[in-house]
Amino acid sequence: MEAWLQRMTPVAYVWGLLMFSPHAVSSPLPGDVDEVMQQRCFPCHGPEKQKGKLRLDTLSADLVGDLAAAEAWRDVRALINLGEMPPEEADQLTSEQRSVLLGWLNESISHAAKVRRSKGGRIVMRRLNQIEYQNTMRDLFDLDIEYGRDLPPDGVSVDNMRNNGSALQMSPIQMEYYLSAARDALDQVIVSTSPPRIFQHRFEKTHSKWSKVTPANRLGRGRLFIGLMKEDYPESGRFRVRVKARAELPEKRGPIPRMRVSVGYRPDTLDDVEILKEIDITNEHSQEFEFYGRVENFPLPVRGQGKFPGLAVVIANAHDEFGTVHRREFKDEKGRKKKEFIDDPDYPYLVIESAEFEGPLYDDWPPIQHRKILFDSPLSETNTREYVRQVIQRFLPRAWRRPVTAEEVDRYVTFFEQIRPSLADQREAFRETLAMALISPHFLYLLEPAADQPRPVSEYELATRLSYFLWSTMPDEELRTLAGIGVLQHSETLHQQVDRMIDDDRANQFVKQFTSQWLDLDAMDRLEVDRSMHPKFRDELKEDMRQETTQLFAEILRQGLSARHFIKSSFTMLNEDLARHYGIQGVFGGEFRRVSLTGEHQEYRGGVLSHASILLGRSTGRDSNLIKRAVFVRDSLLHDPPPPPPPNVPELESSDPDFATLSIRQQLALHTKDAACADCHRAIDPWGHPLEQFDALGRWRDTIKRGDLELPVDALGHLPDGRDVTGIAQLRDYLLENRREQFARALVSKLLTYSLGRTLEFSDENIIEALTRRFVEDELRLRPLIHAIVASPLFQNK
Amino acid sequence: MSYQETNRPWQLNRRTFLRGAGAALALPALSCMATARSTPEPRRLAAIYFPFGVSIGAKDDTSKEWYWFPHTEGADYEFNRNLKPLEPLRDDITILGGLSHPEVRRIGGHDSGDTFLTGCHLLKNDLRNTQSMDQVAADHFEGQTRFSSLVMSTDGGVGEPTRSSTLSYNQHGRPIPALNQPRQIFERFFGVGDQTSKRNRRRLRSASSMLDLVLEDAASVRRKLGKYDQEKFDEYLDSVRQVEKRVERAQSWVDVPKPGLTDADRERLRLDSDSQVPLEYISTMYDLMYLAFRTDSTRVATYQIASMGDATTLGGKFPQLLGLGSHVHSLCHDWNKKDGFERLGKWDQFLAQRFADFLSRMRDTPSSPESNASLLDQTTIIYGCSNSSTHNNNNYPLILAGGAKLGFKHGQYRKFTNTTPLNSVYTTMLHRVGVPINHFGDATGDLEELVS
Repeated sequence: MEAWLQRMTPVAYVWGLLMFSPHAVSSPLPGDVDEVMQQRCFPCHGPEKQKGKLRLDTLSADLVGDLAAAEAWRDVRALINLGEMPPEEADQLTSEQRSVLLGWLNESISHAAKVRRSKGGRIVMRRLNQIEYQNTMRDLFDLDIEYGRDLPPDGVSVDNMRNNGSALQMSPIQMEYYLSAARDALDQVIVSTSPPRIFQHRFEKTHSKWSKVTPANRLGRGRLFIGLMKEDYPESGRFRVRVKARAELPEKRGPIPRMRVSVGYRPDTLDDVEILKEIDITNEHSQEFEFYGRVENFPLPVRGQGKFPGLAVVIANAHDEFGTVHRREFKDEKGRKKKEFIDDPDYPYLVIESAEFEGPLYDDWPPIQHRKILFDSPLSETNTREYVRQVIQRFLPRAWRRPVTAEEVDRYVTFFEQIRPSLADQREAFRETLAMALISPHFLYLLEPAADQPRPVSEYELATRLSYFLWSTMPDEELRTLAGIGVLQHSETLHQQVDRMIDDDRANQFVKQFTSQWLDLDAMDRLEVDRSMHPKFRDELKEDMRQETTQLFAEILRQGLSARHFIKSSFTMLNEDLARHYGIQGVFGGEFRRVSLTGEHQEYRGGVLSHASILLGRSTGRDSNLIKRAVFVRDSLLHDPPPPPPPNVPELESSDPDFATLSIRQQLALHTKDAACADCHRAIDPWGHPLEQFDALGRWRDTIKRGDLELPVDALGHLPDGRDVTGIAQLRDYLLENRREQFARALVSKLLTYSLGRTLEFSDENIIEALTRRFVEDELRLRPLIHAIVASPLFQNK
Repeated sequence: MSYQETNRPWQLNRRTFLRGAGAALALPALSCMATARSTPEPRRLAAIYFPFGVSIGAKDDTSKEWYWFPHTEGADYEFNRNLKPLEPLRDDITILGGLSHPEVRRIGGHDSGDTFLTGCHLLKNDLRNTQSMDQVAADHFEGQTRFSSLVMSTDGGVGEPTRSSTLSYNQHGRPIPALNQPRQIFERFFGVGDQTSKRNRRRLRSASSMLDLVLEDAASVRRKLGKYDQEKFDEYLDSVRQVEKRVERAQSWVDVPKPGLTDADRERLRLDSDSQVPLEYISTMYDLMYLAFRTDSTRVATYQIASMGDATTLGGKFPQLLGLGSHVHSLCHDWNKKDGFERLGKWDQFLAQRFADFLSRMRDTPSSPESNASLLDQTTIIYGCSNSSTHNNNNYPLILAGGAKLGFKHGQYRKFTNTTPLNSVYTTMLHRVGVPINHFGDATGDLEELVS
């Protein structure tokens, strides 16, 4: 019985049944493998002959213990896969013999590889990834600007995680950019100059010329409101945009305008702007809105160089019925042909009455961020040395997420004094000194000193593990305080803190990061939708698609729903654009909300398998990709990814000129004529067939286009366990009824992987098993699972 | 201003230097000045890579004109449409057939991208790579230019083993992160910044002491770590040491202004372009490589146009954006389908045109103001892919270009048997730019037929 689980719950667990022993490969070959080799391999590579100087009958079958043997077996597998062995003139392997050999080789090789990669069940020291770095810097300085934009992209682990210690490398160029990011940040935070000039602008009418879009105050289709500041704008600092706006709603209840406020400039024919805020405007009486941003996070023109100088506040009506664009041709005053959008009575208009810009904003000078570090004190005049010590004494523990020793502080004070004479002023010396703390491994890595035996983590280490797990950033003051008192490890406090963290907005980072890594939502961004097939598609919709999935995760987590809603659910998360994409009526506005599914939608929508994010990500950009969808089910939902295709496997292709007109089932049948392919595909394809009911963009379809033909959708999958499922409806039910525990285990494994920042290993089996049981008993609720993971020895020990 | 004036402005005339230097005379002579005075014309090396293979459809009537390799060997070969854009450069290129990395033939077709410049059997080596040939050259030139190499790719960073997004590997076989944002590359190489300002000089000095101290501190941290963490930590230590070296080097370069560019240079560059606009983006990446060479900011450059990460590479959608229909991977798989060879051939042709534009610019620019050799004459370039038709690790489609003044002789389509390792070509290239190594990787020697 595991004490950590018992502590959490009165339910006791019996471990005896769970004990899992990784299939150890004993030295002699397994009987069936040996039998095949006797017939097909040993005659040339055995006691009599050793062709190619290779003898297999005496080669060790212990791939874990014998590296040379493992390599030799890997070559053997490659040759069989390539069809080079047995040689042409010899008797060939039957398909059964082939699968006996390859089955054993695949399993043994991947087992050996895993064992050799193993880190002994310990969490590897890991570097902050880009997102964690950004969030940590933001919270450390309380300043929301972009910090690490020049850092090279992070490595991704084999299990698609972006917080995996082994995959997150360090390189000289990375280090160089860490240094420059730290210096840039401190240049912003520790200011030298006198208060900057404040710029104020008020626009009642739009600026009249802007790229290809018509400027206007009343915003319908293809219209923009532009507030242009030619010379008088700040280059940095916080700013406020205040907009007075109202909606003009069509008579019948329906679509509402969505105000999109952006800031940027016009380099040439196109504009370069970033969105400051998007918000639905529902009121027909004018209202005032305020938005805040930092100038340095927006595209800025280079003064004196641009063709169209000036920084602009650009306001658009983001409501748009994409696809149906009615424009009429007309001739302007000079007789030139032009096109304009037709006035549409059903269109929700947005009227901008005025817009104001003010910046940089600061309460006091130097700004609060500066004073938090270089705090006001008479010491700064009277006893510089002591002042420097105190500044460092305050900064280091926050930056390093732990108390620091007097010796560590001394080292930084000495550095300050050493460089001070060569630098322009004291502030510059502070910048350099604090920058050094930010390139130190204590800041850049989650560093946990090791002991010979696994040891419990310290209070501060626990606070750090928690905050990077649930917030992707440094511990906040409350966590630091609790760690300081030494009570964070008390199970009750810990429980409360985890609850508090989940309910905090910062947990959106966890929702976003984990969901997109678990379900590989980035797959969408890596492909381009083919516009010749899908002319109405707009790239903006990808973001909405992503939102549906992450918002579903948030809803399940925060509302305490069962994770079975990931498989099947009577609701989904939608905004107007995505609802329209799905053909669901009555959802208006750009905000996402929970929408109950009714009628036919109930039969196939709800659950991630019906999410456009997942379906588009597993398409070719033209049509569905059955194999990728099948692999998604097996990998992300069942945690049982099929082995990668062997070397030199052909894709779906054939000399048959009518191939393109065949159904996917017929194409696959041709492809899998080869026994080597058929074996694997039997266990892959059936998972993908039911999802053929959705096209590349995740829309429902009854027929599939093949060449010039329209074929009916064939959604029948013969699953490897003999069950037949047709379509998404049956697949979802099957997964919930027959694979519930496997799904639970998959989600547990992914979440555990994410929480630990390392790939799981054999030695974790017991804990995965216990967590899964508990998760199933808790009706697949995420919050208790997160509590259980945090309480587990894996999370609690170094 | 013409490029002659802007070319390597820091290679100062000795008299100007003395007049302006004043107190700086006490400093040891800058190595860059020594370069200007005493070394022969710079020798350079570049490598360009694209993934998944080329169109080599069946040799029937329809696909004959869309066949990457010429149909006949020797000097009288005719260009098929795939490489037609390179015809005007016939005398500066050699098309190489039949070559590959013998060790790499044993691994998966798509696993070969990492090894294009190394020839390493990744699987045997636990997915560890070996040093790439460009970095062998970069190490050799270290200190002679502001940057030892320019490593670029469309995806940036390092990617994953077997799907890496860089062509270059350091002496430990670790991937060198590639730069992928034109603006970032530009700033690094040509940005005025405040590189020469007082403040920066001071900061370089404080960076030196900073890194010293960080290293000192880190050494004591290392002792407290577990075995696996120590390995991880060594990456950090190694990086800090490297940066320290770079800071030292930067200190000797700090008084040397970054090279100026002409208005025409700037005009051409599309620094805001990204992987959504393949034509502008790829051209800009080539232009940056050209400018880096012309200004002698580096002697070594690599560019990976897209990676073998089927599902991950940003470059994968280039053909889609160009209206050729599919992702690069699918495009390459469709080579034997109806129209497939033609669409793939057009992609080959698009790439060849970009390469040809780059080569022409190199050919039309003197290597240095006084030189009668062109940049191209002084630069040896390998261009190609580690698959012929997709998944096939034999018969790499390759073009060796430039370097006439380094001894290369061109104008032919040369076919080799698969007993000739590609590393022999690389060995020849390395020897010709002056790297004194015995041979590179599994090379068997120089390929005398490529040089005169």
